Amino acid sequence: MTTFSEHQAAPNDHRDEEARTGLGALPSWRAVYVAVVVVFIVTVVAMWGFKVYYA
Amino acid sequence: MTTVDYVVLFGTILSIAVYGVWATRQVGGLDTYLKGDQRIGWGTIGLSVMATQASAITFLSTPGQGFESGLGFVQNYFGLPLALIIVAGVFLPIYRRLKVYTAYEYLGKRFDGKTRLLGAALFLLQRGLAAGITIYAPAIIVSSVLNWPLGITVLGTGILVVIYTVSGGSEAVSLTQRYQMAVILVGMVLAFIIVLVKMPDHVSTDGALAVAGAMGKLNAVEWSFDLNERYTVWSGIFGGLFLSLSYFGTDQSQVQRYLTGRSLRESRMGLMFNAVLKIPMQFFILLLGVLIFVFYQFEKQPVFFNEAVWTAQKAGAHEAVFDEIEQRFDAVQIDKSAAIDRFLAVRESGDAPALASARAEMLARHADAQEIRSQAQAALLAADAEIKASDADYVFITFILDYLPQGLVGLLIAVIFCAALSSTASELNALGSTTTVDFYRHVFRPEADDAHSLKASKWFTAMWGGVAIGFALFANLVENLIEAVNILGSIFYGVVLGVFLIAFFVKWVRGTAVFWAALVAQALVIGLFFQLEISYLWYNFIGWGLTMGLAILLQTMLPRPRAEKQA
Repeated sequence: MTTFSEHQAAPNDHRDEEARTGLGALPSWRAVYVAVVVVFIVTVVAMWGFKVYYA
Repeated sequence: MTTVDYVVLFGTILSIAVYGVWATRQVGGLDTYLKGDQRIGWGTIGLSVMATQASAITFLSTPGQGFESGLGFVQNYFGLPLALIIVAGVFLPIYRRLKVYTAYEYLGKRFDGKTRLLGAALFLLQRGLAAGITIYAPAIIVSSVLNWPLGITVLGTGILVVIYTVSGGSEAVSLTQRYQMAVILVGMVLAFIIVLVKMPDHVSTDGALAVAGAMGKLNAVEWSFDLNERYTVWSGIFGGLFLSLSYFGTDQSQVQRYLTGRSLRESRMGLMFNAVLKIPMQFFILLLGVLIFVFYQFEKQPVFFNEAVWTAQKAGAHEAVFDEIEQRFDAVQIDKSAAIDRFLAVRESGDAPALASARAEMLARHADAQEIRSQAQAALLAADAEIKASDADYVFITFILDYLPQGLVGLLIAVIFCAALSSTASELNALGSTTTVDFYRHVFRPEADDAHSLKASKWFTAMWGGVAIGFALFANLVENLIEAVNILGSIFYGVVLGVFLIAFFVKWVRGTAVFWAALVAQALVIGLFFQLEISYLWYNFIGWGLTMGLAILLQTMLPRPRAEKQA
């Protein structure tokens, strides 16, 4: 159970509990990760716009 | 500094350290000492991870980088959110499930004992040196501007951090980091507000940003594909991804922080907290430096910010040369300030040709001033070749001491020491843990019980504290301190990351192949570092690629063992 594929395939009694984020709007970890990527893209675009506006 | 400043400074740093010792005075056992009994919530983990990464260098050098080169350095962190997602999704659940104390213990379970020791040794080498820099960096700057003895400053910082880290272990580190990070954030926000308030009345925030933008200081995003360009979106995303993935996923000083979480959820949320907030935080620290740059366009700016060095050289044999440089710089600054005023006035009018002309004049005066600053640095080097010719690290602290009100000066100096203490504490905690778990218990005393290992861990943490203090006392470092740490990391991190990614994702590659591949790759990366002139972030990528490629190649050439012995 030391590689990622073995870890995913291994039985896990806590799987359901671990899958929950406790966040109403972002119930799964995949949703949280997508939200983080979206925030990152928005941040980069905002900084680029900041540079262009004041160039 | 006034008495009020000293009370604020020492009151802040000592009270947090004493609290750390008091709150963790009853360390139960090895598990509590190394993983804080895994009862820490996501907020503390998030702040702890942030505080570990953000050393005093961050708060001294980064505004200086903003002052000197603008916002471009923020791109260094563009790979960080993606890296933290990978760590949260892949590394963290496996570490927790295997109940490891250190990341290198995982390598032992996946490969073999020698690969575990190699990973641990690379970490100890790299992080042991970095811990010295973490203590030395603020000490050299603060002692220089405040006329404190360097040795006393290094010893004071080092001994304080050793006391509470040895005493309370991982939990003391996390608890103190929560309050240290709060002090840091409050201090930096106040500094940001004050620089805006202190701008001349006729310079609005919009006007200040327009001046900075025209002078190329707001270059936060650079799309160039030039490999020689130090900071671009691409070097940030790809090089930064590998640097961050290696740092957060395999560096025990970070792994130990998020393994203290009371559940997988708490640890993941702590990492996501950083994935969202780290880039904006770095952006605002750099922007603070940019605003200080604009502020000094209207106030008397020193020709060289390391005043102690400048004054000492000026008092020597070359007084006339230094005087002449100062006079020319002051005259150009007055012309430049007037040119900026014209630029701002024309900008309000919206007259495009006049604006272009005013802008060109302002940039010409700026170039004149930069030229004189370069001449000042050359004059210093001519007077004494051993002098550090960069003054970027002294910009922010000079601003603090010259323009902040009583009390706040003490708070901002406390910010610098809080940052130094918090990152050093994580490093010593991780160095002590790795030495105990991966070397002492694994190689020398496999039969040692928890009580013995706990005692050994405390001694090893103290020993690494001594090494870091010794290194800081005798170090002579490169010009920009924040880059020194990142360059050091980039040389080692790629290789270590290659080992871990093979461990997680390439099941058929075994310990012997990855061990020799890592050794050869590390030697090649060090050799290339002295041969190539590329952005240091790329060495993360090169190290990773060489390790992965060589390990896979070697594995195809090696006979497959019947059963590989696990560590």
